[in-house]
Amino acid sequence: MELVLENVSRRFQRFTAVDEISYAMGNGVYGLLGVNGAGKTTLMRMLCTLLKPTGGHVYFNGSDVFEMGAGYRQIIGYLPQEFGYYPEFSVRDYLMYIASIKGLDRFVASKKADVLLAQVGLDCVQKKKMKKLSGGMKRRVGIAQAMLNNPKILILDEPTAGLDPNERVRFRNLISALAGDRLVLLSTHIVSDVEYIANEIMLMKDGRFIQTGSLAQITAAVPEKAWSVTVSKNEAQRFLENYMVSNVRQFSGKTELRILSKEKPHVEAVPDELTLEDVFLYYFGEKGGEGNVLL
Amino acid sequence: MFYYELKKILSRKSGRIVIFLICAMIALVCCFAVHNPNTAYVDENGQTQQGYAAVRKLRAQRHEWAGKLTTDVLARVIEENARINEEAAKSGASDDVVWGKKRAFDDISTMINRAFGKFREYNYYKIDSLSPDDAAQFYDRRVISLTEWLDSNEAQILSDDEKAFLTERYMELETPIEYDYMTGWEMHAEYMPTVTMLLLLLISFPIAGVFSGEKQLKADAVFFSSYHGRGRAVLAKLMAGIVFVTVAYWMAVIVYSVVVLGFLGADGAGLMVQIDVWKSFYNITFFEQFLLMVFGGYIGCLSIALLEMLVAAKTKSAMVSVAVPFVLIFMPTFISSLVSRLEYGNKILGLLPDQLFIISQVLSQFNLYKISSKITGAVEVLFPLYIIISLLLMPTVYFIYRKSEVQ
Ligand SMILES: Nc1ncnc2c1ncn2[C@@H]1O[C@H](COP(=O)(O)OP(=O)(O)OP(=O)(O)O)[C@@H](O)[C@H]1O
Ligand SMILES: [Mg+2]
Repeated sequence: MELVLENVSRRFQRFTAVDEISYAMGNGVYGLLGVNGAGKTTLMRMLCTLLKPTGGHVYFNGSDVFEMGAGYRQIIGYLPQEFGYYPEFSVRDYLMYIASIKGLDRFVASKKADVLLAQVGLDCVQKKKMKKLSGGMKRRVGIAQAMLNNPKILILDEPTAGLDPNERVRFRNLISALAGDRLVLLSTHIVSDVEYIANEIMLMKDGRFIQTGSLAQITAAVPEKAWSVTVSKNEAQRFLENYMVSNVRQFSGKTELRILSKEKPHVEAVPDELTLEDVFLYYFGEKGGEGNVLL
Repeated sequence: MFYYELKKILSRKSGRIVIFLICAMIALVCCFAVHNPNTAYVDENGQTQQGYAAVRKLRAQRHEWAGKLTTDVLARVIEENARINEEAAKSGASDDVVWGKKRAFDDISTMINRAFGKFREYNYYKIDSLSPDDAAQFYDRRVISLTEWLDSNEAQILSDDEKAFLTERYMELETPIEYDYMTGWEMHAEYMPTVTMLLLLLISFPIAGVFSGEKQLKADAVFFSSYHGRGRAVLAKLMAGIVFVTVAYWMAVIVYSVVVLGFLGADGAGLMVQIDVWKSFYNITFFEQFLLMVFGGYIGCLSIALLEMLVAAKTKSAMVSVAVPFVLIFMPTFISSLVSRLEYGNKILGLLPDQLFIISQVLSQFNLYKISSKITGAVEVLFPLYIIISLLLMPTVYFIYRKSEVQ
């Protein structure tokens, strides 16, 4: 199975949200990492045929997905960033309705709903109305909905946004469990979401993929090193103005900094492994400056 | 899918409120239709009685005048009217007592007032100035006053063909016409526009949600990325909308008709509508008028609801689409004085969809249309026109909605 993007672009009036992206994906978990407005949602909408590209094509196993139409929609599952539901429907009714528009027959749909509800841990609230669920529960219904047709391509747009840390971990595990034999594409601007579960990471900025590859490849591509150093508060301010600082921790009058730099920034600086967090800072953060003030 | 679409309509609070309001509206209109001065019985003391017993008395009173309205019968009405007036002048009886005594034949005296009065006006006391000998002219007067009006300035917008058509239709009315108690049909026709128009305005709220709901709830992304999301699921929406309109309409209209005709009586189904709409050139019976009204109302509701769905499918806005029925129902009243000054103004107004809700008024108007050299009335144009519009709107809604993008 192969999903290929070929010079995919999307313009809104004069603004280009997705800019000539070419990329190929197979089975596995893909993490689309980018700041707000990078174009993640726009790209995903195009992959779900919700939005026509203004340039380029998306091919599934060689066929244009817009020409495939229903045949392509049959094999995708989508959890939108803003997951809308029918507030007056019960969880079960909601799933049964989505199953019907996904073309499942009622008996199969009912079985499938049982399995998924158990899998996402919602079997006890299936009679509850959707509007009465918590945000995390709704998101889990969202996942269940996307999985109803056992999609070959599962597209999740910021599935962990707004979840508490526990729920977040649960969700990550759930996604890992569901990944199996399919293509999972999930977007996020939270590094830890993809750090462990994605086989492949795409860094997206201003509508382009600026870096792609496995975690190791991506970190290796960054020419900086990570350093850890503990200094006084005054000195810390100087580092903030001149270096990329990925972490600041204060304790007993001292400040511990995590600095990205090619050279050793301080005699006492200790080198450390680059994390995805550092990579994110490197590509998306600003390099030092007046703006970075130690609070 | 279809089941869940209906469930979406009915599970929303707005859907439930609307259903409650429809029930309340029908109950209220039924009350008005069966309980008003036209359905009252007036006893010999001039006391007004209402209710089922009163209706039965009124019915019995009027049944006495049932039969062909021949010159003899009409002369008797004029005589009887004069006798009651005379008696009242002597005894000084109150207006109410006089009214009560004339109640039995006042449908007929109304016709006489119309027949002998000027074409465009109604003189309540005209009958008082007639003598029984005048009765012989009753049916001729109908054609004569039409001819007089056709020669007047007011009628000069009509072509000669149209004038000939109207005269011919007038002459085609078989005389003498039959009379019987027909208050049930009369009241039914009177309140029917209220029922159908209010019904349309009420159902427009849930209908607006059918094609705008997904966008508003942000459920459109899942909907359109699903297998049937650009096909059968859209069809299910369309079906749900049509079924909702259809069921709501027929439930409301059947309940209304059964209550009103059940309470007031359905006697007189085979009588000519001219008893009620004297000037009409449509030579049809009350039952035929009833059919035109109920089917006209349905076609009106359906076509406007479909147009509303089209606007919702295009704009995805419930606010904008819900305005469609309100505009179509209320606009004609506001623009009529302006538009009717135009050469074809009245012809255009006569084909607007609000006309389907006021068939009994359409029957009394002289809007004529020429279709391939054949002249017809508005009713013959309205029905096929809006059936065709409805049939065209269905696929249009489908194709517009299925092409939606989620931005
Ligand atoms: N329908 C639209 N019309 C105009 N501009 C749009 C539209 N949709 C998105 N954009 C613009 O395209 C850019 C990318 O938006 P997109 O929602 O794809 O970003 P994102 O990476 O998903 O961001 P976020 O992390 O905030 O969800 C933004 O600048 C946005 O303003
Ligand atoms: Mg987004």
